[in-house]
Amino acid sequence: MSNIKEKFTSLLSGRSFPSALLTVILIAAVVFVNIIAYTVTTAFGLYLYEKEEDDLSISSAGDGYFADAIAEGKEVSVIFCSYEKEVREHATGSFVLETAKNFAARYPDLINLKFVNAVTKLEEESGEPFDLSVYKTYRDPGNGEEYKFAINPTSVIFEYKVDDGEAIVKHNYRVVTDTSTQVGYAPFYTLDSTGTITSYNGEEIFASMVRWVLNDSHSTAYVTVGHGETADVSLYNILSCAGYYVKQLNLKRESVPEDAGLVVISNPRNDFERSSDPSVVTEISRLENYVERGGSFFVTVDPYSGALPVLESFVSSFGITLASTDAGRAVVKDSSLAITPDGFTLVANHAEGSASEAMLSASGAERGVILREVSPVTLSGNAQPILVSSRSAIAQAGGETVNNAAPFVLAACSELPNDGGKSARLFFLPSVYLTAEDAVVTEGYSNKDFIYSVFGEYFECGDMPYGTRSVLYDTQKLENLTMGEARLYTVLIMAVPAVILAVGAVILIRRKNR
Amino acid sequence: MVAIFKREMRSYFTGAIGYAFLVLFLAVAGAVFAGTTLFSMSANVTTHFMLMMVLSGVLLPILTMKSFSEERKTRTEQLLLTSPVSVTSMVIGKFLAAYAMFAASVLFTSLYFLLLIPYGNVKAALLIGNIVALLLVGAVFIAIGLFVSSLTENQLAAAVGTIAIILALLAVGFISLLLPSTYWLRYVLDAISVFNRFGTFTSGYFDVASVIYYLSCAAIFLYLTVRVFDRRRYN
Repeated sequence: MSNIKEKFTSLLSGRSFPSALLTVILIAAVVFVNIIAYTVTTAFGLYLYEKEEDDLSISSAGDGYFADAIAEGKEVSVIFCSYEKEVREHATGSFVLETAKNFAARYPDLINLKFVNAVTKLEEESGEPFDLSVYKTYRDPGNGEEYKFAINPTSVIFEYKVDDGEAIVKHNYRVVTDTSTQVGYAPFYTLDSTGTITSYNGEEIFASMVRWVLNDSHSTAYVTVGHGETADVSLYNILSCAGYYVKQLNLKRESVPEDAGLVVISNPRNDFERSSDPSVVTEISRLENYVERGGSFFVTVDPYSGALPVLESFVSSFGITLASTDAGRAVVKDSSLAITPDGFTLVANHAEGSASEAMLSASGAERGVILREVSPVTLSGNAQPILVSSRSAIAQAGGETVNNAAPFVLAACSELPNDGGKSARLFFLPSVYLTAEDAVVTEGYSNKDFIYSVFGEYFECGDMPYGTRSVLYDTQKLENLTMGEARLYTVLIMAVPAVILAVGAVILIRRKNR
Repeated sequence: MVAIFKREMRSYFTGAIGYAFLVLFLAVAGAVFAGTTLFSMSANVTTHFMLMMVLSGVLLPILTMKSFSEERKTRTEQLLLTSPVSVTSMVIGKFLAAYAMFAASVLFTSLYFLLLIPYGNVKAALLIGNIVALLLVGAVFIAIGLFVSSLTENQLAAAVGTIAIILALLAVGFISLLLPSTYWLRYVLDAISVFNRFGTFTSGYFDVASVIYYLSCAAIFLYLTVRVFDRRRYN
């Protein structure tokens, strides 16, 4: 025994045994252990991994605007066009099912879930035949128009039906079908330009669809085309969730229809037509005709678009004028409170004034509105400021500061009285970013609720689905960090090595001189 | 071992090496943090730690280059080898001193992420995983640095040699990317790549096999360092 011990000790100390051999044996053993560990973990996936569960719980936002419907004993059916098991196993449908169950649990008297197989046309619970074809067309009781819906196994139908015991006296329904992707349930999600899901908006879609079928009349929002308009998909979605039918309007061919509740002019690149001859019907004369009828306008323009003198003249007739210089339109920059290094992405806050305060009160959107590359506007007449910049902002044009009299008005609204008695209303924002997908899908700012407040409060379109929460897929954005704070933190962080350098230099010099 | 550790720590701050390492590491980490989070508007910790892992391969040789080269050059190595301290204790003492400097720097710079909490979702588990991974990789790099330092009395040669070996280890991961995914050599290169092993941590996985890999890599180089001095002591 002592012999073995002596040999082992000797081996380790390398005096009488070949240490190179021992080294090779040890390294081989270590490599072998590593191969085993690597193979086992790779083959069997033996990792410790913290899986993040998405929080699909719904907010209390619906409590207020569903209260009346619940009190009146109304019931809305949410019909999935697949059996429950299939929806649960669907990659994107499972979220929608979870939201539906959360709604049914929170509002059991209002929400009733049904599952129907779109192929066999059988309802899951009763096993009875269920006719889905009736939902393929819908005649709106308000405007009398007929709308067509596509139905497939990933469709979700929201239905409100009233019968007097003998016949159906009211039948409002809306079909939500993914017609843009092959994945299914896409309308419940926000997708970026590459088709990647950026957020899940189930609560917002459910709340707005339930609210939609409970209402009998719905306005139509007409989005102008023919001027290179670049309306975001998210703007269409918000208009839809706000309760509008959304249609396109080519003013070169047609006037603003009688059923128009809103005309949206979103970031035109080319100007509108105008004629000095009042007898000639032009795009502007058609808009002016709508003004006479007390219409509503939601106008956004890109500060970097070409000159739009006709449109700007139309907007200025409401008392709202874009700030321009010889070097082009001015753009607001805020080096300290911006949230991008270039200083052009700012957080705008509600201005003082009755219209702005009413919007803020309705939406509770106190987190500010994120805007990028926005021009300041000047106001006159009935125009009221809605959003303003901070006091640290400046206005630049052609790279030069042209105005430092902040705060600047960044969004405004105005009423134009007319002979008809009903004033026309206009909301104007000289920025393309308000309705951009990454601006509305955010936890840090209130763009979506702000837009809803413009429709709900200023255009008097009724209750809006304020405060619904989205599940963001990129949860690691630093949304509220301003560039001023970023620079301050960087200075603090870099001060540490500077202090160590100074202390070290002093210590070493003193030691050398001692 | 404790005596060697204390002596080594003292030597870092009686000379310029300790200050130089701290200043460079904290400045680089601060710049990387500002660039990858504050000015990128992201609470994602992965890019920061990936870059710090690569940069540590260049910064850590500052700490280790003089560990044994200096002793050899100033002839204090003979004192150490004849002192009543085992070679293993001497090597581990020096390793722990360098590692303490590195670990303190890493843990201090990790505190920067506390600044982000009011502004975004800093994933604590991912942050901890990345810190552990960087500390493990640091142990390997320091062990390599000590081994190379034990082979030469030229500090510059020690630093350059260490950086070369570390870059070669990192390059293995990039070379594997050039190979077809089904090729057996790619599997082998992935298995021995310091870079790829780090990737499992930055993806949010706590990979026990990678922990074993890093610890065994560090142990092998420390063992080789011990063997170098053992041979020198008895020859």
